[in-house]
Amino acid sequence: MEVPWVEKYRPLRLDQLKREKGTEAMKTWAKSWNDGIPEKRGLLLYGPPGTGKTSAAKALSLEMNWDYLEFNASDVRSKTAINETALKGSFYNTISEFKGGKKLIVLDEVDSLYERNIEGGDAGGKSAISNLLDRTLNPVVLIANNLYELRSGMTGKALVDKCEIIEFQRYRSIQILSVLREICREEQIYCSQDKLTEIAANSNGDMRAAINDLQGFGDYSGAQDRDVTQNIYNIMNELIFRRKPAREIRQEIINLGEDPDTFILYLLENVFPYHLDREEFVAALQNIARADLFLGRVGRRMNYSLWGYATDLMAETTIFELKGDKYLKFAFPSLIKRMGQLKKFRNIRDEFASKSGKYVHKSRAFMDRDSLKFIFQLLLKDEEIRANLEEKMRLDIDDVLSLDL
Amino acid sequence: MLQIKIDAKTMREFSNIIITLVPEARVDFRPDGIYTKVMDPAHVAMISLEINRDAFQEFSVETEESLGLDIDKIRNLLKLSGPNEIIDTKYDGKKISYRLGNLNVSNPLIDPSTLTTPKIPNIDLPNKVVTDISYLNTGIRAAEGIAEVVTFNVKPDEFKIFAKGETDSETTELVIPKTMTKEFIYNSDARSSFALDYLSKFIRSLESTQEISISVGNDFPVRIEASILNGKGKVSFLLAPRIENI
Repeated sequence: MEVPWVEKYRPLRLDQLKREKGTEAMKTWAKSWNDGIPEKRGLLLYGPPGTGKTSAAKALSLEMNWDYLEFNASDVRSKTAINETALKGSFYNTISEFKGGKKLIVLDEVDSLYERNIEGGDAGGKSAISNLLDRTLNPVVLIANNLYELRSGMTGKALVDKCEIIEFQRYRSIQILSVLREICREEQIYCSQDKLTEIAANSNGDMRAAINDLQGFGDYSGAQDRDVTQNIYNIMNELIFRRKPAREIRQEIINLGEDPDTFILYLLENVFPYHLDREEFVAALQNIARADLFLGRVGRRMNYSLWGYATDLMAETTIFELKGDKYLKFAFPSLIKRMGQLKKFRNIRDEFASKSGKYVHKSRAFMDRDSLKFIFQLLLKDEEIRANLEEKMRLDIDDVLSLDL
Repeated sequence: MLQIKIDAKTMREFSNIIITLVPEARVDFRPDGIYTKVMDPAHVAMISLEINRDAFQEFSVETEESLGLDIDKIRNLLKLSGPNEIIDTKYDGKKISYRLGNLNVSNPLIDPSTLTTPKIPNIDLPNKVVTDISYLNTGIRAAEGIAEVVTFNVKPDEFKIFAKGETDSETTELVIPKTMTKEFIYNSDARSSFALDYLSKFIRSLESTQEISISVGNDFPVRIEASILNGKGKVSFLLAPRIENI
């Protein structure tokens, strides 16, 4: 089997990456390890696929003469697994060939931890990595595609704060073109200028994709359009500012990997009458409302083919004039945010309802709808009843009183 | 083709030593014996292990073979056997099969190129102590009760194994004076700290060892060498030191 060119031509030195600013910062951070433990023990490299993040980490370890220890998505990265290998190893020098003694611990694809509590999952991975960053005596590099996803949640924020952050932007197609030409020269193959330009343009700044396309070019004719996975904010940007036709946006929503149910929340949050053009705004909202009708029907009938219509309607929202002159930050859906904040109270309320329901032989839903308020007032005002019910229903009375019904 | 007969006890010791670091290993079968080198996933420790063909009841290896073995599966098989039973091992070019009495078990092999085989570094260590394994074992087991790290300290006339618990008043210390050692080479004062669980797992896996050689440097890896299976095999264990927190 032929060696994949992406491996064969993987840059071994930082300067081969052609990212002066980023690699300078990496070297500064790495050198700070020579004089003891720096304040930020982690280095976070983030950017789209194929922009040289993993290569940069490998090259850094070579240049510093450090051992290289990588954990990626194919390893289990649960709390136990990280504590057992990465954390334990981080207190000791490397045994491998005993170069400068240090090892670079690289956690690749940290934004795709699968934190469900199932066997083979990465349960507790994020907090274990955060703990690793507090305690490690060896340099740690985290690599992620999506900074926003990584930063979601309290643990994520804490994690990112412990790192020097370096962004890897997409390569420009001229840079990709020059690498492709270089490879053609090395491999002594001929590829027409037009074809190279086409491959470079199609790759959308993804060096790995471009090199793979070039290598695959011998196998079948023509670089095909790659499916580009966008993040939700990019799509929102295209949609609101009418950067692309509805048809393309629709395809991107389908490729996104989020349910339309989630996407509609983002859309609703970010559609805004920037121009104070009321008619356009109302029309856009009506469009979204119709999409929601379909989504509601999916929920009731379990007929997922209706998602198609909802997606059509959401993508169609782009035809309305919503664009403003000012730059506005896209917002995370407030519904999800609030649900998150209120989760604790919802749990308390559910428990309160089901316990008191058991006491008066009613369902939890009935109590929730009908009687909770009255019982709450009783608990609030009558100390005797409070003590009595606390014992009989085994309620955590402090929790219940924090509800404010 | 490869055919080996080995008693369960020897097989158990072999697999116990490897499993201290990894559950899968590349093992080289050569006409004069078997060889393997493994490194743990955190790159803290390495083991190099050789077993001479004399340790086997029957040993026929015509050409050199490197096989990726699943050590966990071998241990499962060993659970079914008594210590003196003979395990008949065969490799037919595709799978490895074990016969134990009238039980036949065959396992798929792991592609050896997916297993990392470390290069054992050449480390010069100034001090060397050869002593009875039971001393080392006592020192390590005492330390295990209170700490995760143990420190080896070599002075002109003694070798000291000590550990500190969470408070200053909680310590363990085992001193092996020069007179209680078989061999004592001293060049310079040395002191290095190591992970206890690696040490204790490794020491415990050496069932047939009496004497052990410990080479220590200052903030440097330790090398522990021992002869196993009544001199028919030898093992060398390298462990990286803890980084002293500055």
